[in-house]
Amino acid sequence: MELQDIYYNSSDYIETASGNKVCRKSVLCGSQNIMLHGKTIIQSDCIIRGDLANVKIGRHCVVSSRAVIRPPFKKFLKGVAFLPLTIGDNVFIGEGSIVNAASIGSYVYIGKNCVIGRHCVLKDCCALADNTFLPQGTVVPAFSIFSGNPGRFIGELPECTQTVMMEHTKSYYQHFKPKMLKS
Amino acid sequence: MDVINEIFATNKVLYQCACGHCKPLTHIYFCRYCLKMRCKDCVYHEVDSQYCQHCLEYIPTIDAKLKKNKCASCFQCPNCMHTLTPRTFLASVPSETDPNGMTTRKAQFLLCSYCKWSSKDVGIPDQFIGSGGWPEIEAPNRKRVEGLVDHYRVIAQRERMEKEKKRINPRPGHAIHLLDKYGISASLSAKLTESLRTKAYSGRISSNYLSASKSLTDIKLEPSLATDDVEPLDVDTFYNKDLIESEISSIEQRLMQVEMQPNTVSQFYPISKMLYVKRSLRCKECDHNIIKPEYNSSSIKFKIQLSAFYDIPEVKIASTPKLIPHKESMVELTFKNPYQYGMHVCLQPLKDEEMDESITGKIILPKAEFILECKDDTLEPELDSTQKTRYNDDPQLITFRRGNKIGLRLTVIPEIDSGRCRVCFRLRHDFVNSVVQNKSTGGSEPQVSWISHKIYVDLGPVIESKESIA
Amino acid sequence: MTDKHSVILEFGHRYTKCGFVQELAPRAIIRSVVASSHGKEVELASLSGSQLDQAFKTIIQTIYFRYLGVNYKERKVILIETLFTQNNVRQSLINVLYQHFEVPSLLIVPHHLMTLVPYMVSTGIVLDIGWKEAMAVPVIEGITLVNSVKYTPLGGKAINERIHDELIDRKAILRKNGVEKVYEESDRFDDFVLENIKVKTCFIAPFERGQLMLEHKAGLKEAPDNTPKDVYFHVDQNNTLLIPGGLRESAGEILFELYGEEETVATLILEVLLSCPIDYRKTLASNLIITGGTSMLPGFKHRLKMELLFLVKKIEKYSNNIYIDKFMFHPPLCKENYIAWLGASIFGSTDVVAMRAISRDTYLKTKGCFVDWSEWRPQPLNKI
Repeated sequence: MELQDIYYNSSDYIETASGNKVCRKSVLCGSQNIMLHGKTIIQSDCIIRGDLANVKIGRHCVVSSRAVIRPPFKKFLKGVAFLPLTIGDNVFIGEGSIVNAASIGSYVYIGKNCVIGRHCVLKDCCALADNTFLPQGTVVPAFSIFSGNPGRFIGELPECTQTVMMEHTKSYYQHFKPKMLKS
Repeated sequence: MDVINEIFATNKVLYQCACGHCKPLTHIYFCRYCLKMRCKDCVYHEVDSQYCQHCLEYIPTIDAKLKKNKCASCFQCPNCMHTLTPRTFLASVPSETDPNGMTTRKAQFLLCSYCKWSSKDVGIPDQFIGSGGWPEIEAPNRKRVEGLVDHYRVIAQRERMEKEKKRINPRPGHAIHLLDKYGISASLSAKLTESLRTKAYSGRISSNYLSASKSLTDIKLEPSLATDDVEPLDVDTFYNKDLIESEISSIEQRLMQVEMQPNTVSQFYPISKMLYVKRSLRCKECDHNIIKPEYNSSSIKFKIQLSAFYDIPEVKIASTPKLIPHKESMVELTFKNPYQYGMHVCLQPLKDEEMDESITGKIILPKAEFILECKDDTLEPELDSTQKTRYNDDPQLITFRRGNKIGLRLTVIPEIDSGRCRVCFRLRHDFVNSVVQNKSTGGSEPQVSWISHKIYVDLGPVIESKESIA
Repeated sequence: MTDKHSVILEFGHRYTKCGFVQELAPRAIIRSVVASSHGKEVELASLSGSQLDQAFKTIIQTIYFRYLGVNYKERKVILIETLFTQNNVRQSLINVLYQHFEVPSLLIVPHHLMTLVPYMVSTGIVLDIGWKEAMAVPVIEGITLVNSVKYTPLGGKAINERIHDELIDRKAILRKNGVEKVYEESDRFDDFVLENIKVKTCFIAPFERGQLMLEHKAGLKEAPDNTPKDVYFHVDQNNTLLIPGGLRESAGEILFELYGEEETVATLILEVLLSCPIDYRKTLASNLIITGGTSMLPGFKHRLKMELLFLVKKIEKYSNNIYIDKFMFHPPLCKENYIAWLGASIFGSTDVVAMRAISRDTYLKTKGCFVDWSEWRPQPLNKI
């Protein structure tokens, strides 16, 4: 099925020079530490905690509404420090998901209401089904699908996943159109 | 999982592969040498490399065999199957130099971050860093089993020797046997009979072969002794005491540790994590590799990747129409050319003998051939306004043309009153084979061949008609 | 001895065991289910025809790549099958292994003879109590007396059904999402949960209590007192089940309740003895081997012994013909649910595999004929 057009109120979203579309309703703390590399969509009611540590999000990413992106912390003998969080290109994060991971690779699909624990590492081309809970420190290898609570390996993605995710996120961006307000 | 399936493994549009299975395009491979579609069932799967899921360390096959396909450093929690993390702390141990004082050394214990089970719960002593891995439990019956293996090996060897003896032994029609049979040997000279006899028995296995192998008496292994004495049920534990369900292991937890199969939680032991296998696929007919992954476990590149997704036009449903039984409706399908060369595509209806029961709708296909442009990443599709005028597109048929994508408007007539409407047609296109050179032209020109695929499209449920058929 | 060890597969009705030759235990014991196209799990035993072929392909592929990590074409396969394997299942499995996976050679070994291998005895009765049925097979000097094999559909499945029925009868209390209600037919849990109830809480009661329960069931006496304690069983996050104590001891009774002409697990052995030649009865009764997952319930062996001693005296049919007062059991070498697998592991580490296995060429030449296990030296029959 082809993706259908999704319309948004053009007054709700800010479009930057590099093509990022950020909703005004979402909370971006410490925006100087948040780096969006271009053509990324951040939908409404998201929370991105750039005030704790650097957050880097790649190109053509989609962060759906009510998602929370929060860098993980690490306890040292002398205190607590927050580690930077990198998200690769062409990543789709589903609604309501909470991301505490240490790093997320490129071409990753994260379902709705997922909870990704601290220090998790998601490699490129992997997927998390809806309602997955990944306990602290889980490593999701490439081309695997994890699901359940605790997240377990349930299947494999096909070899052409990279291109499929690329096209999916690109076409999502193309179909995300502003609604012309009647005035 | 449904959304993942919709993106990666949709069952709305299925392609039929060479063995008859219908799979979505993402799960099909295209062998460029024999020009056929292959699915996972019609290819050979081979083990390419093995790696640990957690530490992502590539382990060569020989090492993997020795360690029983298990990672040396990663362990699984026996309670919830999550990976155990080693936690370091400073332990005070009696110092070697100073008999009265204590020094600190770094020690580790294993902790599960999900269910908080730790190796301290079962009493495994903490490991000091640098002292090697965690100790393995030895199975109680190892010695007996190894003895049994030797014992049966000897018996099997004996059996084989007997079989060979029988085979070599009476050669039919040998002179001495016939003579013995008819009682003639007595009249012959003694010397002659002796030489004949030795010839007859020379084929026998010489005795030194027998002495080389172990005889059964060398291995002193007693058969198992049956006993009358069977342990009775421990009445006290079962009848008088309370049972706390969380202290007993469940069957899944027991089967994770096959050798021990602990009954209670206090007997759990960390389980070594199993290694993952990366597969390489090979076409059954022409024996060429279809998928060959890289050695690096985190890499998503492939040495060879012949997915059909990159070569065969992709068909997608653009809009679900309202399907009314036995009435025509318009359906828009998009065709996309993922290949580096342009393609001529024509749609053909199925022949009568190819119809099967799952096809519940009729689709009216255009007779004309249409052209799909090649995939060009550098081109911005929105800016190319000259494209429409380059091809004379019939606006009734072709709804849009954008880069390598085209939209077609087709008529569909569902032939059932309720259920899902499935149509099927043949997609015929030309394929420029850059790999296989055309032998007749002698070299550099790539071979062009026409291939056709059977495509099943599931259009959705038919709206049941409320009017009764009078 | 080549370095490449053969693969041993055993497809039970409920659990499949897989591993390599010369190892002490199977690499994995997994459930004999495949995920169907709808995402639900389907038991292998319930399929047939081309669906069964497809299911075998899926499960064997999973076994090879997730648990064993080897290529199909490189390893010979040893397949353990029980006496009563259905012909279509066997044929389907052989076809899938030879044609789809192209294994180099295949050797099919019988389950009961493999069970005898680790014990080094050649005479005895093998009692296998699995999921679907319990089967007693007498073997004398290595020869199986096929006419004397006795079986009855009492196994793990029967106990699960009994647990479900008793939960309804005893009006167990189920706390669903904080609301307490009585357990009903519609609340039936799936097999996995019932099996965990069986494994965690149930046991086989001693002989005297068994008699008391039998009398109570017949209506002669009151329910025996001093029952085991009730247990709170957590089904999942929202549901808790209070298992009545009486259920814990009475669920396993189904294996020993005698109803007229029907068999119990104990009478199986006695029937086998009756139908065997008189001279060997004493030897057979002194060499009893118990295998199968269901026999791992606590208290099973002792109860079996007491039942045998009791029945051989009480029931006329036996007391007049069997004059045995001692039944001896072999102590198990490993956990009972994989004794046959261990036997095949020992058996397969010898040269026998090379001698007796049917190679793929022979299979293709004779177009897929395979003889039954009872042939001494299996050769494919020539189709006329």
